[in-house]
Amino acid sequence: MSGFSEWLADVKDVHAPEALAVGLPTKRVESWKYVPTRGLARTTWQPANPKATEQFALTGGEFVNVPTADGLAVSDNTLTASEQKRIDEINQAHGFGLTQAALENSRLALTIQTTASVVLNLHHLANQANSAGFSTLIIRVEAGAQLTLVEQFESTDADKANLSSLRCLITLARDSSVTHVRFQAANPAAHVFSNLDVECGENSSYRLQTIEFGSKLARNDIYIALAGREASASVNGLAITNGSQYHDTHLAIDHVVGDTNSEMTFRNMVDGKGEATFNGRVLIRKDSQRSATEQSIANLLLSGSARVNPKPELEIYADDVTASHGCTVGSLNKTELFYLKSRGLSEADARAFLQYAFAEKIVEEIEHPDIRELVETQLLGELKHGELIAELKESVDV
Amino acid sequence: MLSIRNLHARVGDKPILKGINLEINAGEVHAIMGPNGSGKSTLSSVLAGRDDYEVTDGEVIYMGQNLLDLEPEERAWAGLFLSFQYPVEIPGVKNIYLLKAAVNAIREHRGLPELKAAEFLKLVREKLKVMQMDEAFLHRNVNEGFSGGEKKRNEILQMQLLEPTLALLDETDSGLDVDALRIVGEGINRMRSPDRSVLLVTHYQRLLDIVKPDFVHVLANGEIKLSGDHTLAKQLEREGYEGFEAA
Amino acid sequence: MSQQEIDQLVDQDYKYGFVTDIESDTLPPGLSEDVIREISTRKGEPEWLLEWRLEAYAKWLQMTPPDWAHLEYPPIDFQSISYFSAPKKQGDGPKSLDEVDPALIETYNKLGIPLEEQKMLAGVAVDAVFDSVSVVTTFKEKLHEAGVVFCPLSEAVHSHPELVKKFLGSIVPQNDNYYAALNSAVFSDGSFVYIPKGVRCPMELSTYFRINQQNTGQFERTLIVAEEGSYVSYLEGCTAPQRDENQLHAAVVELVAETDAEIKYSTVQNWFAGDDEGKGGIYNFVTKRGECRGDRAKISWTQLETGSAITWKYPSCVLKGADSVGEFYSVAVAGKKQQADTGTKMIHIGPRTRSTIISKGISTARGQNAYRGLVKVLPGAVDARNFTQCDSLLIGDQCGAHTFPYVEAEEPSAQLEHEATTSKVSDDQLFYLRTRGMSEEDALNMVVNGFCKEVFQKLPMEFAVEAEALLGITLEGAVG
Repeated sequence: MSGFSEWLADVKDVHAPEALAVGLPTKRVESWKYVPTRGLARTTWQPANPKATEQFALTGGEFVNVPTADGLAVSDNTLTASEQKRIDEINQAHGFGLTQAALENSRLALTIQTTASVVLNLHHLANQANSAGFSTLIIRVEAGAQLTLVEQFESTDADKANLSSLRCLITLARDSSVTHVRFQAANPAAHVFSNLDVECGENSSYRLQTIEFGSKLARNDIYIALAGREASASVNGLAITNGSQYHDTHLAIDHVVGDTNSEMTFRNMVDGKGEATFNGRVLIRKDSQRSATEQSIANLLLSGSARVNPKPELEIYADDVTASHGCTVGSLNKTELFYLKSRGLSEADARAFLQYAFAEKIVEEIEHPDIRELVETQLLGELKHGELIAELKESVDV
Repeated sequence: MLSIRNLHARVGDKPILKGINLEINAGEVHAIMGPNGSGKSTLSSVLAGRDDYEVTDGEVIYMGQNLLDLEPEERAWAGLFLSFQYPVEIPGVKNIYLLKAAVNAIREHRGLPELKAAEFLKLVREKLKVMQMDEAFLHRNVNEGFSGGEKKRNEILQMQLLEPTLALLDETDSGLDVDALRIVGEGINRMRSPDRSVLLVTHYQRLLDIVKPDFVHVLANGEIKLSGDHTLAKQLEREGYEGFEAA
Repeated sequence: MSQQEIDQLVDQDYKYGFVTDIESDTLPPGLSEDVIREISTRKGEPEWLLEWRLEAYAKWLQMTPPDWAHLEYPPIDFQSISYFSAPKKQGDGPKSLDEVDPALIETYNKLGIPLEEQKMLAGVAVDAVFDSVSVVTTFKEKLHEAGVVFCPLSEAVHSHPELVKKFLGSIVPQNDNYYAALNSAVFSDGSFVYIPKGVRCPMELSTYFRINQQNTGQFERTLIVAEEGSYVSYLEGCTAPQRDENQLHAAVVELVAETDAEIKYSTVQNWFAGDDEGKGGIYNFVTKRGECRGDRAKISWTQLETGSAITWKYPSCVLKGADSVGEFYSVAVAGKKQQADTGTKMIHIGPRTRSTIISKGISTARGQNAYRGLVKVLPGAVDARNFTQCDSLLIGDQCGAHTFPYVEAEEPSAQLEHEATTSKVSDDQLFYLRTRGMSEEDALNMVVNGFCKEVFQKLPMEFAVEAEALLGITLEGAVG
């Protein structure tokens, strides 16, 4: 047997025996129904080694160059009871959770102190061929604090499988806010796993923008609990899936208490032999009255070999709520194409315009200008015939 | 410039155009009027190359070329412009991107050098002024959230920038208030020249008070039933289309 | 098949008449190969059918009950169920309506069911002069003239063995799912409908049913075949509350629509829902599937589900023929402690196939209502279209409404659209209606009926009115 079994047999972690016994999830596990696990199983994974860098980075499963800033403190990485409970749930969510737990290299805990305002820019460096890193980041945002967390991925050429897995636990105390931008443009042989578990306290707000172009396989498990009144969460996501890529986001928002708000907008653009899965689930619990949620999922299928599996779910146990979702699947709109062509744009340019437009609706929401610029530039690089728009942006944007 | 000969077209199994014949010479302004459902919009869509319609018979010769053989963008390069009855919204794409891309695509096919950003901006500002549009329009997404009147003004703005040889204006007057109608009408008038032709498709005569056509045709039930000069429009305004619908 | 052959088949059919009369007792509880042999023997079935049942039984033994629907119920003891009981004979029931539970009569009256029909529904022995007998005869003649075969499946096994053999299990295979396998092994009876080429069935088969309600048992199996260019509208069930001592109902329905054929299948399901604690209600685990085999074929499912303690059903359409059409219109009400898990699957295979899904879920008291559906577009289903709308209405804070729409799309020219909303009945609407003089209950009724309008419009006319009344009764006591 290959995959993680040799590594698991070597480690002492309490989860290792169970992880070995359970193995990787199969298609029979509902939440892994579409995940192609063959590549994971075929590689004999080894621990990755950290690379030299000057940035705040995650490399070889280790956090390096943790920045210093006012209001930012490295804190005790012992889990609180509540954090432990959340981690346990991630461990048990699917077979891979146990593997992640057993192979964890490092755990960093950061505190954003009361009323501080901090910007963190975490770089994910690519791991070496056939190697993997598993880490956990705990972020405790104290009352009234503000955090902007930007995650970026090193995009290098790689042809051998490599893997990185980050579990990120964010706890927002009352009146705090987090803007989280995650820009995944990892190398084309990367397997990127991300577990994001967010707990929002009273009157806190969490905003996630996730843009995904890179990797061979990416799986995101996002769980956001609105645990205090007047808490709100919004998620904007874009995945561009091409070649033989597989992108999968399972997003759940849990209205644990009433008077909470959530919003999710997700767009998939799938070309080539790519496959994208998006599962967006909203749970409004009993007595979580006056909750509101809105979901919108749009899927653009650009090739006959592409595949998309969107699933918006609503699970509602309270009556005084407003909940809605919309989901569309289609190719480029014919009327829009005709309009652009009637203005003299070639078929290829018109298609590029519309693909850009589809993605831009998500990208334009990124408040962080540098990141937005970075994403847009890469977005245009991803598009076939994106040069025209790149040139237009260059020439007329002031 | 344009000759339409025995043009038949249908949508699905339903024939809409049943033998249209029309000659438009350089510098002429023609108006096609007719009741709802007579085939007016089908005619302009077929001429611009929308593929929801199937041409079953007839031909259209534009400047010596068989127009129906051309792709929509090739028609645009050849100087044809369609002002849409319902301009399409394209969220995510700034108006200015479309304008600049379109202007340069067409210039390229006319053998003209590409406009640099500064030249383009100068040109577009000039045209904005004519259409009494704010510069903010340029940075809004194409037609997204525009009012009906703003969309139509945006269409005429595009026409001014693209300088077509033949402009097809489909119900450009619908949804306009009096002031906007005047701005749009004057915008069209400014474009009149001896080597440019215009085909106006309209249900009402009010735009024709401002843009005085050389010829007026009545389209009903897929055929041109009557042609005349601009006084025909007045007559239709008074008497309605009743006499034409039965056929 | 030639017209002559069809005529022959039809003639054969009517030799036996529609109403079967099997003299037998109920088998003791338990399930085994021997029980299945006994069922088959008692029904006088041919060898091939017994083999088919045994094959299904063998498959069922290898399967496990589905658990993905998150329904709550204790494990079913399949050995405690009796798998064969003869239809009740007339004369066993009450002698007149006076002997019937007054609550039931009250419900019938609210539904506006005519007196004579009430007698039949309540199982009262029908007077020989009652003219429904002649109505039945007239219907039979009309169907016979048209060449339509409409008889119990148990009879079709003898009268049209080649048709039954050809189509039985061809749409819902024996091992499709746990309950379909069970049904295949032990199915009691059901309807067989065959509409020959080019025939438009001269009446709604619903009409027939209303006056000739049969006890088809708890493992009903229906097979409808619509040949090229034919049309049939079929309605099963009844708005009147149906009680049954059998808690588990596992039905299978198979529809086949050939080129240009259309099948409209309507269901009104009002099995006993159990008491307020959910005790004693029916478990309704149904597999319904139709296949549009030919080009331009159309299958339309319409359902009103108000009864049963648990409903688990997903009437589906396999759209194979080019330009074929699938529709699903559903109103599901979950009150008391009911659990409804229903929806549809639309499988787009042929080019330009179209499907529409309109689902309205209403939850009250401690009811849990879930829409679960799949829209799957396979490569090659060029320009396929789907529109899905799932709306949920919550009345009261102890109930739940859930939406699980799966989409799997592999064809870039397909266009799919899904919308869903969940909300409670608007206080503004209720208030507005009450200021206009309506009682709170009437106002609620009006709002809920408006919410369901799109679906009710799809029901056969005569049932639409009753469906509205039924909804009203179901919602009684939901406010205040």
